[in-house]
Amino acid sequence: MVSPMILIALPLATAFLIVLIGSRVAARWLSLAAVALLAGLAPFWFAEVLRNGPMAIVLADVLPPLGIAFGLDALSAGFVLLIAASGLLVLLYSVPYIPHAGQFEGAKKAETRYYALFLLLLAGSFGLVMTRDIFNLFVFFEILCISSYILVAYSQEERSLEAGIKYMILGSIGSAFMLVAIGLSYRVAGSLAMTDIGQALATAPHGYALLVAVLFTLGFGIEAAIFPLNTWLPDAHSSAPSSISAVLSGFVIEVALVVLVRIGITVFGTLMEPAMGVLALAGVVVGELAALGQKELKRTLAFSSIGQVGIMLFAFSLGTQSGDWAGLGQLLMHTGAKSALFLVSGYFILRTGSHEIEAYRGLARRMPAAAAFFSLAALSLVGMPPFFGFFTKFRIIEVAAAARSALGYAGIVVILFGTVIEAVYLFRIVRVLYGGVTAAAAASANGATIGGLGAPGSIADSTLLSVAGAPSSVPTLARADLPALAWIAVAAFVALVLVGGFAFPWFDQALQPVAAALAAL
Amino acid sequence: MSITTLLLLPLAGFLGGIALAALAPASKSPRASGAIQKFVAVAGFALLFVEALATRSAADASRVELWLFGFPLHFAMTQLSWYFIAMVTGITLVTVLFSLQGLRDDGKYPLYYVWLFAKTFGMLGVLLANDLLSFFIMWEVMSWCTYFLLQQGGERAKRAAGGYLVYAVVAGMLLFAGLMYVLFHVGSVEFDAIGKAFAGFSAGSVIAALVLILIPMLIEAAAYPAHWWLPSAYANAETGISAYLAAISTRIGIYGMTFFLFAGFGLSVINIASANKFANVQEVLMVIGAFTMVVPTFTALFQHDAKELMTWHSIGQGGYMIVGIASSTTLGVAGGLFHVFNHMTYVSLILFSIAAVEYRTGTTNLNKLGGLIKRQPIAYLGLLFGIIGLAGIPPMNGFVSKWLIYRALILSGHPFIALSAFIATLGTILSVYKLIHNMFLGQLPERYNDIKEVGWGMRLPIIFMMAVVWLTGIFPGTILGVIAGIQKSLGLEALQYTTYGVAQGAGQLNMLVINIIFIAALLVSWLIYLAGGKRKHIGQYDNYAAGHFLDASIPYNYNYDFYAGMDHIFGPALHKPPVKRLEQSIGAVVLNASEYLRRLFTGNVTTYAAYVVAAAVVVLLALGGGR
Repeated sequence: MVSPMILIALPLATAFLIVLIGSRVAARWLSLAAVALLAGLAPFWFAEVLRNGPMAIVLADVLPPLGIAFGLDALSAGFVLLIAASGLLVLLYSVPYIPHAGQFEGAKKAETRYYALFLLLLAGSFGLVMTRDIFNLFVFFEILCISSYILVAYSQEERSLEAGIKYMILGSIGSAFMLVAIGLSYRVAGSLAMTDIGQALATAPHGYALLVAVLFTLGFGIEAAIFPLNTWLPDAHSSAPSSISAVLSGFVIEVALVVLVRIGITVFGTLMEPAMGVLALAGVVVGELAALGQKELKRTLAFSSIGQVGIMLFAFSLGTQSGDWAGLGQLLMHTGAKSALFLVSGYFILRTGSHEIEAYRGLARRMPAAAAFFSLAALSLVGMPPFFGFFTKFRIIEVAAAARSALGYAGIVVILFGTVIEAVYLFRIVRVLYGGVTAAAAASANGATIGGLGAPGSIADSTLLSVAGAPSSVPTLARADLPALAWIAVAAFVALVLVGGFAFPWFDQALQPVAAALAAL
Repeated sequence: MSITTLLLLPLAGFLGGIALAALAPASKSPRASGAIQKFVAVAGFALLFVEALATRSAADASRVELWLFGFPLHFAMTQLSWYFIAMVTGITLVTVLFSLQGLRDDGKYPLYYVWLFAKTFGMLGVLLANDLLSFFIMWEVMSWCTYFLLQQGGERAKRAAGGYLVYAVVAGMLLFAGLMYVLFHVGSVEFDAIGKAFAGFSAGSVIAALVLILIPMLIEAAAYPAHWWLPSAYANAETGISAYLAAISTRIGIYGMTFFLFAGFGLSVINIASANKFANVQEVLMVIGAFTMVVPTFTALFQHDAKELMTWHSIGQGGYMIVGIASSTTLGVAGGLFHVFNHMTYVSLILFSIAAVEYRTGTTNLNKLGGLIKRQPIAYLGLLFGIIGLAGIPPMNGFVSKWLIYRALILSGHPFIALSAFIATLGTILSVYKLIHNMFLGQLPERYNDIKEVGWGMRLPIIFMMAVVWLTGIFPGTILGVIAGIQKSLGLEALQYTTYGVAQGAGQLNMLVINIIFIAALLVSWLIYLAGGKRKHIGQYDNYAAGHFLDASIPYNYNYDFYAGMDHIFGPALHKPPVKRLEQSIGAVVLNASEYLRRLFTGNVTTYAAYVVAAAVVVLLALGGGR
């Protein structure tokens, strides 16, 4: 079996190679090949970990505490699988999408940078879930963060640049918090291995341990989008290219969240759990209610991510293995549904040239597959049976009720209330998509497609031109659905929420050892 | 297994329809795809109805485990569910047959039949569900499919569907909470186990569970004060679909209420929940029912749109069912359940007639219609039969169920509820008079001179429903027999019935005699009419008013703003009642909260950094404060 270190080595090497070669065609296919290889290997690692228990990875025969400690257990192997698979799908989507995402000078050349940074982001995420040492954690965290700051600003539009800078400033504050926490832990433990620090902090004075815990949790919590540290998220997730929004909402915040939970358990014991539960529920309320008032599609989705992260964190903060289990199910469902939603909205924006929901009126006629995917993913997110989201939400409510605590009951009320709000705003969007096209909307849609984005299919554009000139009261717009590669990527994410629903007991079983790994560490 | 077929057939119809729509989109060949859809729908729903009738023997016998969504759901047929299943499949078939001609502009409703299949699947699932978890899952499926069915239509229909969705999701979440409450207090989702456990619970716990479970049923049944979603949702649908929705869709809530009061958790539940004088589930339900009868019925009086008027009535008639069933007497439950059937028949008949008028005139606005009696006689007769049933006047079927309910209310000592029922019936009579007068009587506007009766595709369903409304009025025993069977299977005392009505022991009602008297009276008055002196036929403009001669330009416009005087007095309270204001205030609170929370995200990095620091301080103080 190939050593899992390839997960970090291959993306890094490919990234450098891409920049050296400098051709965007090479960049596309090299990165696709590399990530496809990793995604192909990931199930085998997962299976092996399930069979033989956790793997310790020793680099250059130097054992911890001196060497760099990596490990692959059911949790990290599960995440490796999730990251590699979604990474591959989003890369597939990027091939047709990215040429239209940036309309700035030198965009063609910049495309190689996009793939290089994307691979760095993957390397950072892989490292983050595999590392067993708190300083490496910081290093991989920085790799992940810095590549995502740049990717958010990729299109170089004003709003993306602004969002990228905000993201970077808040991310740096988080990094500073973390660094202080790491220094303070090193002072008491004299080691950087997480287990050593955990033991040392357990005997340290309570105030000291608490300070370390709070600094670390909040520092990391910025990336994990815990309320009220998630203020960067609506801007960043809505202004990034949609492929990056899908990655950020799909697994980056989730990876950060799970690493945070794992560290919370390994290093800080249960010090932070009650606070996390309260913050989680506040996040659900704020995220869902704020999403209700949004006029832009991707901003709505970004706020919905805040709410969803709150739901996951709530499940984790119950502090039971079944809580972790339920949280992981929700996480997996959210990756599928939210990635699909963001990827589809990328093409809604390309086709209409607008971020506003109102501009998508009647778009289902032009993009039937895209609109259908959007509706399916939305149904799962809201939790309609038989979709995945129904079962994961069910599991969370069940676990919360079993906790028999005030927090658990409050959680049930908040999550059920959140579901109502979620249904309202998501299906308001679906209604617009399937609504009737007014002549004015059609004209503006035509104008946008002709004006900017010399995008997909000049044939479609010329048909639009002729229609715009015709004095027809019922506007008929040429079909311009998702391109094939984007279609495949979105369909795969939607398939996850469908299969997750119909084969829920199987997923449930598969998540058991992952949850056990999270709880047992 | 026949129960399996009942569930899989509509599911196959739905999936097949989706596949068909994807392979042969309506936009490419609307005519061919429409024809295929219609054929599949008629064949599918006809098969389903036959299957439903044939599975009656399975009632109370078998329990089926179906792995619909990757884990087992349990279904079983009871007498109660069979009654509703027969109604659902029957009225759906009639609606589909009516829609063949009645549904105009196929392109506007591309997935109408597909969602009708899906909705039927959800409804049958709810009716057959045999444990609380299966019930909840199928309930959710049904609500969402209703939402998608309501969306089939124009922009207004879509907006109204959005309103429905809010109520439906709230209902779903309450039911979810109820399910969890039961699961954690009883440890099982099986109805038997829940019933046994409830028998040993305190009244408070049982009431808490029942409230969480019954509120969603009442929302679905559009009971006061959770009825505001219904009028706009149903009135904005195509009229044929409105008929279906008003006839049976809402009544699944009545099924749920009956089921959870008497069947699901056993008979002892209602006694436990009604023992306390102050928190008495039965009394509260009856008061809700009384409000549901009176307020919407009088709101109907002031509607100027035939469909909207009828949707308000279909809410109001639900109130009769609620009070009847909640009275939990033999007569009351029988009356309530019979009223479900009767209401289904006459309300679809009325809405079919309205659809026939709308098909020719293009409007349902009561201020613009009039005098159509000679142009559309079948539609007129349909409406006449329907409103006689609706008003609960002999000889139609509505009279029998209302008679049972009145009698139950008086005998069980609920004089005020009975009084509300009488008042509501008065309101019904007033408003159906407005309906038939403004559509068919009075002067015919000139623009409708050339109108013809609709084709046989729509005529036949109307004539068929007329026959049903009248025949079940003469022979109520056919349906009462089924209901007595339900009562027996639930362990209630069964109604003593005869073919023509109610047996001596239960108060005696013979509809055959009443019909004979009625027909004899009609004959006598016709003879008197013949015997009366000379008659002169005059044109509709041969008229005068206070010395003015009226011609076609000035019709005697009695139609316009009917009941204007009453509207002036009662209107303000009914057009924007406290309930509507409450709904709006809740909406406003949520939107305002959304607005304030949205402003937390100022877009200013300095503020954001301050949040981080503030969070650090607060968490540190909160966690370390005590030491």
